Order: sequence, then structure tokens, then C-alpha cells
Amino acid sequence: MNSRIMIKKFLFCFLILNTYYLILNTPALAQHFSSNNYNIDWGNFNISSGDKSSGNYRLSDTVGQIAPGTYQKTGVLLKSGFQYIYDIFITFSFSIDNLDIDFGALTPGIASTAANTLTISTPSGHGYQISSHESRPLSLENGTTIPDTVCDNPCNESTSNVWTSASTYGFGFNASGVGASSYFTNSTYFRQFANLAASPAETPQIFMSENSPVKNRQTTVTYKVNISPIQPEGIYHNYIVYTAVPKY
Amino acid sequence: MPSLQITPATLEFWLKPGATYTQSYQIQNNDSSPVILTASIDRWLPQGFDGGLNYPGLPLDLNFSLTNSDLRLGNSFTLNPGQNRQLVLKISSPATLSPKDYYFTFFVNQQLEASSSNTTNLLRLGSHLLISVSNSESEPQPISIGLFRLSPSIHDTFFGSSTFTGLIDNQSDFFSKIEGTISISKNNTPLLQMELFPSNVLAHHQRSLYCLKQDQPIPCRLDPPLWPGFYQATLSLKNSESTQTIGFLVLPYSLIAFLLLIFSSYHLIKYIKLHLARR
Repeated sequence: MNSRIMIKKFLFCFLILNTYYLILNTPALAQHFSSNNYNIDWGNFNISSGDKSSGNYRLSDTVGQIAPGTYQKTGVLLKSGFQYIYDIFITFSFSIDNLDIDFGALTPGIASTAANTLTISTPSGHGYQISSHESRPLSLENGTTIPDTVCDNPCNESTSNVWTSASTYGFGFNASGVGASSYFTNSTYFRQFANLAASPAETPQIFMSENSPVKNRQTTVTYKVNISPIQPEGIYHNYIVYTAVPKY
Repeated sequence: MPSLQITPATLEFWLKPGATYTQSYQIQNNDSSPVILTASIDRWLPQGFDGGLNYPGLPLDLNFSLTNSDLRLGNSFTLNPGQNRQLVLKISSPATLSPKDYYFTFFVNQQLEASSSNTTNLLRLGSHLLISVSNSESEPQPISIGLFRLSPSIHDTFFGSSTFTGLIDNQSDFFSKIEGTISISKNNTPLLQMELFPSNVLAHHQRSLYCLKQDQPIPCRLDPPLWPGFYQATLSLKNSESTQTIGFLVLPYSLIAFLLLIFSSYHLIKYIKLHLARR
């Protein structure tokens, strides 16, 4: 009986001592790098961060970073912890429903038009501006161009004017929508795209802007081309860049 | 439908000369087809008073690079449909850089692919960087009231609204935010207070006033009804000792016009009746 009690006491003491040993000898979970020539111990090593998701979960994390947080001061917002950007800032987005504009076969003196739609959503508290420029006027590979329109009354890349006359030739555009109303009085007003191939290159021009935030704001851009009877035959090309930025 | 989005859309921070800052951007392609992009940086200047800007082709002055292992600024990369990619931008200020503000846009540019159409459209989407290069985080950014007025000048008791317009002036080398209120009072009794929207006023530039409503900027509008009398509107800025007060008169012009119309109609009818009776 005494020996049984002694064995139980021994096992109990062994268990307690072993538990202490395991606790006291748990290795520190820091970063350790070593070779014959060096030892590096880091308390923290940033591994990854960001949004992870599947059909069943969404996780925003920072792995390995010490003391992430947000530090705010009047007029300035400083942030640490990479994942904080995912939820604090609001996204700026821009889309065009059709990138490829085709006018088909052109008939001299009869204007051809084509249209696409620009859609923009801005971050909270910010308006936006969209500017445009063309790589060159509509051109053949040999350099022959359909000139940019000068409208019925003078217009250029920064000024719109009426263009309805069948004897006014060229290529231009109109934009209609809330953000474009101060740049184009109505659908008969057109202007040129700023020409980057001009010498000197023309500056891209704003043709759509608002001071307040918008969500899915749409504007229809109508492209118009009218050629003269002496316009050489061929397939004319150029490309147009739309630059969207938030207001500061 | 080619569609791109960028997060964050704008960043504001201080940077010491000689220091480096790293920022990650998330670029998402919401289209159903792949898109080829490049990343670039342009420096801009403010244009107008409502947050507009232009790109005059200024030298960058700060050093920018991408720290992504497989990508450099100007190199093309492809985003597949629905794909989200992180671009990590490293910004270094030379130690000899003059302390002042520098404004940039981080652009993602759609690249031209083979197309048989007459005109091919390309998207370019930007996110702003407002960087104050300074040895101190607490550089003074004094702002002052450049203009403050109410229009139209006739204020009716019952109809029409009036709008406060103003310009805030920043003559310092560092951007600041508009913080303050427009207080309306009558006979020295406060009636209404409108909080100003905290727009950025860039260095050596002016910015129009907007009021704050549900975290958004709106015109500072004074709506009827207002009792007849003499009112005062005071614009005060928190980060400035500058205040400006304007006075305006509210009268029941519409009511007076209506009564005058009734009165003159009554007398006109009376005169016509009398004239007809004499015949």
C-alpha cells in the first residue's frame, strides 16, 4: 500500500516538474538566421498582409507586423499596418463600354457618328476630372489625315462650338451628361481632341468634371467624322486616351 | 466593358528630406477580358479653385520605383478578368530636396493592342500623392480668407435661396485643410452654423469654400424662410485667426410685391368700373 502511494507521489511530482520544464523551455517565436559567420535575431518579420477570401470567408490580416494602427494628426493621416488601406480608403473606378469605334464606309458630305459611354465612381469627398487626347488625327499609314474639325464656327481642343453644316469637314467629339454640360452646350456642339502629334504637342483637355463625389456617373461621348469629296480612300486610324483622376 | 479601379485614390503625407516611404496600391480589372497596363508617375499643378489640376510636364524631383520583384515603372503587365494586383510604390526624397510640397499622380495606363477599328480608346486612371517634404511634421500652414460673399444680394423671406461663396488663400509652402464654420446671427443671437468641408488648400494657391453634409461637399446655401431683418454671417477658420463678417438684409419682397399687385389691381378694377359707369 505504501509503495503504491509512493509511486503515485513520484508520478505526480514527475508530471509537475515535466510541465514546468516544458513551459520554461518553450522556444521564443522570433526570427533567427545564422551561419558560421553570423547570427541574426529579429523580434518581428513582416510576412504578408491583405484581403483573403473564398466562397465562405473574407479575411483582412497582417502577418508578423508589430503594432499596426492608425495615427492621425490635423490635416494628415498616417497609417501603419498594411491591411488598413483595404477598409479606410475608397476606390476610384473608371470604365468605357466600348473601346473600338468604327464609322464604317464614309460618304463625302454626310457625317458619320459613333458613340460610347464612360462611367466613373469617385472616392468619398472627392470630385473628378476626365481629360482626353488623341495620338494623332485620323490618319492613313502614309500620313494622309482627316483633319480635326474646326466646327461651323471656330472650335479647337479647348473650345466647343456648333457643328451641323454638311460642308464642314473633319473629326471631333461631343459629350453629354451631368459632368460634361459645362463643356458642351448641347448635342450640336463639338470640339477637337488634343493632338499629341502636333508640333508643339497640344495639352490634353478636360471635357468632363464635377466637384462632388459621384457613383456610376455616365457620360455619352459621340464621335463625328465628315469628309470632303477629295478625301483619299483608305482605312484611317488613331487612338484616344481618356485620363480620369480624382479632384484633390 | 473595360473597367479599372485603383485603391487608394489619394494619399497625403509628410516626408523628411532623405527619407523613403513605401505605399501599396490595389489595381483591379473588372472587365471580362484581360488588359495590358503600365504604371507611371506624373507631377501636377493645381488649376482653378475647385480641385482641378494639370500636368505641365515638370521634373519629378523625388525618386519613384516599384518594389515588385517582377515589375518596374513603365513595364507592362497583364491583369486577367477580375484579377486584383498589388503594386508597391517606393518614394524617396533626396537629402538635398527643398522643403515644400510636391504633388504627383500614380497612373495605371492601358496599353494599345492590335485593333482594326478607326479609333481605339484607352483608359488611364490615377491616384494622387500630396507630399510635404519637410524636416518637421508641424510646419505652419497659415491660411486666410481671400473672399467671402453672399449672392444674390436680394434675400427674400419666403422664396429663393442664397449661396455663400468664398476663397481660402494658402501662402505657405505646404498644403493645409479648410477647417471652420459659417455662423449666421441676427441681433447678435446665433441662429445657424454651417461646418465647412475640409478641402485641401494647396501651397500658394486658393480653394473655393464648400460646406459639409453627410461627409460630402455641398454649396453653402441659406434656405428660406428667414424672418425679416438684418443678419450677419461670419466665416471663421480654426487654423487661422482670420475671420470675416458680412451683413445682409432679408425682407418679404415677394409679399410686398404680391400686396402691391393686389392693391394696384383693386384700384385698376375700381378705376375701370368708375370709368365705365360714367359712360
